[in-house]
Amino acid sequence: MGGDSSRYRRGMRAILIALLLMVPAVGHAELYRFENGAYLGAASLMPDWAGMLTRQQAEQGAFQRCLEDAQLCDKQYLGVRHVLHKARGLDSDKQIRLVNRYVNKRRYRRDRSASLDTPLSDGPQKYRSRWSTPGEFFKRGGDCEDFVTTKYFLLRELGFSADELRVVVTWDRQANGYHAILAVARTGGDVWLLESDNSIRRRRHHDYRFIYALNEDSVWDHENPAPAATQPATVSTPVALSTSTNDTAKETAPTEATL
Amino acid sequence: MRLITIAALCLACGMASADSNDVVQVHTMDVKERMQNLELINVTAEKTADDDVAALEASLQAIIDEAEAAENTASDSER
Repeated sequence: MGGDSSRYRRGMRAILIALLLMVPAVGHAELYRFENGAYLGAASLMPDWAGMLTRQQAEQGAFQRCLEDAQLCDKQYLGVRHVLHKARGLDSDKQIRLVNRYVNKRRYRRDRSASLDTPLSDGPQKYRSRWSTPGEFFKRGGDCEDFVTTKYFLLRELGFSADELRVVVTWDRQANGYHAILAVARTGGDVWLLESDNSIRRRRHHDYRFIYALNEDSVWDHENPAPAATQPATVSTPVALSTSTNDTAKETAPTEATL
Repeated sequence: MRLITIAALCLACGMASADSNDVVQVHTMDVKERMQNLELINVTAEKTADDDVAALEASLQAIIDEAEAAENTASDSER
């Protein structure tokens, strides 16, 4: 009897140890870090994202004219014009909070399926996510990636550099779906994650599994721990909304990498 | 009891190795495949803005209110 009980306790202890050993393999909560993303390639290789950047450039003239003179504003820019003018006098923490809260007030509107050609494929492929420019977003609303894109460009307008910002696509454990958030690099290596529910996650990053990240120059892979390739040097000046896909990055982007 | 222990250990090893296998599979992809897969991700999670989630300073809220007033004025004048 005593032997059985001792064996039982030993067995239970072994099971407990096994379960504890499994914990790191099953899931590890970690803070989002820019440097954890492996450079994958130039942003121009993501057709829908690159298309949005091109359209954003095209609407840039009208937006800048609006910022200079309210009389020249398209209707959808009147509110954001006011926000940007007021935000210029604020510190960067407040700018982030203001932009996050203002954009989150816009209308949520789900994507319709879209079919696009891609330079990476032999034929058309189906895409479900369509990235909207800020102008398109202010006109008709958008879904989570459009909220994030708009926050990205508004913060660029306020002087944040492209290197400080990343649009991050995640698997959101709470929402049980793919979700986009904006990551903003802060001092001391901290990263703030701007959410569409108005929260700004400084520490609570464990709700997400990070998949990939974008800015106007590059794409990073967060699911692959090994660095894919050396990222080409980019010159990101804090010039607002004057973005372009980085030709340097395109030329030196790896065609293949061990990810 | 010994059987249960061995079974639990096998299960633990199996789960741990299954997880790492997933990663290895991704490692064999080239950039082209990987980017195609990434762009096919349907990003649609909806999270509603909630003013109670985080407090906003009155001064920032005032800016937002003024911006909304400007938008509403534009909409009214269009009608």
